[in-house]
Order: sequence, then structure tokens, then C-alpha cells
Amino acid sequence: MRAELQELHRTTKSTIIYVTHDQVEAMTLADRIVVLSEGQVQQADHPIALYKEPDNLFVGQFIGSPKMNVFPARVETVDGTTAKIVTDDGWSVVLNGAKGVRAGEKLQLGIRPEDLSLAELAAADITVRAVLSERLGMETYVSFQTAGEPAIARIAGDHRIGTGEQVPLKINHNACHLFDNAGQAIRRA
Amino acid sequence: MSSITLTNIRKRFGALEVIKGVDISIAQGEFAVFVGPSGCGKSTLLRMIAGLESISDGEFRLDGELMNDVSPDKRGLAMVFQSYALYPHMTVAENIGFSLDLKGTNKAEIRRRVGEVADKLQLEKLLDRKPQALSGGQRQRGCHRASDHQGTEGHPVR
Repeated sequence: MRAELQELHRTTKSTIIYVTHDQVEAMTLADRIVVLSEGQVQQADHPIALYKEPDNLFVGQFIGSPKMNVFPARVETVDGTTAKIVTDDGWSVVLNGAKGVRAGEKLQLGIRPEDLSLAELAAADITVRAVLSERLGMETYVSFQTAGEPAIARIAGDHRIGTGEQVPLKINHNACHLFDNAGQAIRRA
Repeated sequence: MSSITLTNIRKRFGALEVIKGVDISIAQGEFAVFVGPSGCGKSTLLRMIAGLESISDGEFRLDGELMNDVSPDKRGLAMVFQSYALYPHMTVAENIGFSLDLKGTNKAEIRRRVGEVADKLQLEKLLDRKPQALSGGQRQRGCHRASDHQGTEGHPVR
């Protein structure tokens, strides 16, 4: 179906508007995705721009599956454009390019499941307690409890991880997203 | 087709506003995809563009021309529904040629145009079949093409 639509578009060169619930269709077919919520446009851009630079938490969580994890957090210190962000769970990340945040500010840290990877204990950014692991063969989804909603790490490859097991994870710092408390993105430079 | 500009588009059903001021512009030849949770208004917006829903407020322009009050068949666009929009009692050929038949186009011309469509879509061998004798993909193609076909006549498929 996707291939046929792509071919149809290529041969007719028609302007096309397509409505779908299917993420993969939207991501692969669109020159531009228009994300709507409650009768308003949340963001309209190239699929990869939506994925990499969502304007707000809604778009961040709508694009991508499993959806982006959100950790309630606070800015502990700011040094130039480098900020130390401490989550309500008590772990922290130091992010560069975090301009425009103030020490003490409450915000929300967004990390996609695929930006959490399995690490050696010594190299781990955080160690979490697995509440559920789902083995898909090519990858393993590890759900873990947080102060907020449960979060998911999408780990490459097959791993047998038991409930209650401690799982050391590495965070892709460059792909961390910041949102203010109203859910608007705080752009990283 | 064409460039599409929506400016501050609104849709109200009585007191309930379901489209709350949408601005979108879609360039010529662009493939735009509307996504959002159920009830976000994406299908309503599509139906407003097609002319199946009226526009309560704002402007919809096609190639710069105001389309708000232009009837669906004069907009020069086509709409395909998710469910197969084929009449079960008609053959593939009759389905594809239906809108031309309604317009009173002569039989030879209908046959020629249906042939063109079927050729493009590799449906030639299936023209005498009825929809229930087609696979899902073949059915989709049947209505895709029917719409494309009607699209050139500026007639959306219902």
C-alpha cells in the first residue's frame, strides 16, 4: 500500500493530502506531516524535523513509538549554556546547548526509548529497576518505574531481563528534549 | 492538482467549535499527511477541503482562488475513502466509468477512458469482475483510479 501510494504520487505529481492513524505511513510517505490536536495544528513540518525537534510535548509524544518518556525535573545549576538537570527520581543529566533555562526552574525532560541503551555498569548514566521486559527478537523493551509515568528503554538486540532486575542504561545526551511546564519545547542550540 | 492554502479555518457545529483556526499551506506536488488522535479534526478538515463539509470561517484557496463556497464537483480535486468506495453490483469497468456515465458521456469515450485507467493500474484483466471477486489491493486500486479519473473531471468520489 505504501509503495503504491508513493508510486501514485511519483507518477501523477499530484498534490496529496492523506489522513492516517498509521505512524509508519505518515513518516515514510509525507513531505510534511501536520499534527492536529483538538482542532488546532500543533506542528507542521518534515517528518524527521517533527521527530528531532518537536515544538511541544504533544508532538514529542505523538511521533515515535513507543512514545517519548517524560521525566519531571528541575534545573539545578547553569554554567553558560550547560545545565545540570535533576529529575524527580534523583538522577541527573548535564546538557549543553540548554540556553534560556534558569537555575531552580521546573521543567520536563524528554528522552525517547531508543535514546536509552544498555551499558556496562561502570559506564551507565542511570540504573533502573525493570518492571517488565518484552523481547521482540531484534530489540527488547524494558519498562521501568519512575516518579512519574512508567518509562521504556528500547534496547537493541535480545536480552533476557527479569522483573526487579537492575538495568544500567546510557542516555544519548544530544537527543534529550526539554519542555517547560506548559509543554512548550525549550530549544537546545 | 495544485497549491492549497488554509487561513484561519474554523468549523462549528452549533455552539461546538471543532476546528479552531487552522493555518496550513501545502505546495504544489507536496504529499501532506494529517495525523492526530481520534476527534482531533483531521477528517473534518479533509472533508472541508473536499467540499463535503461547509467552512464556518476562514479561507480555503486552491491555487490562490477562494474555494469556500465552490461546490465539490467544481473544485477540481478528488477524494478517496478508507473503505472501498465501489458499488458491489457493478463490474470494475462500470465502477470506474460510473461518474462519466452519470454525466452522459458517450459509451465509446467511457470505454476508452476506462481502458486508460485500467492500463495504468494493471486492472485490464479484471474489468469484468465484480468487487467481491477482487483482492483488497485490487479493490483499493479500483477506487483510487476511479477517483483519479473523476478527479480530472473535478468530481470527488462519495
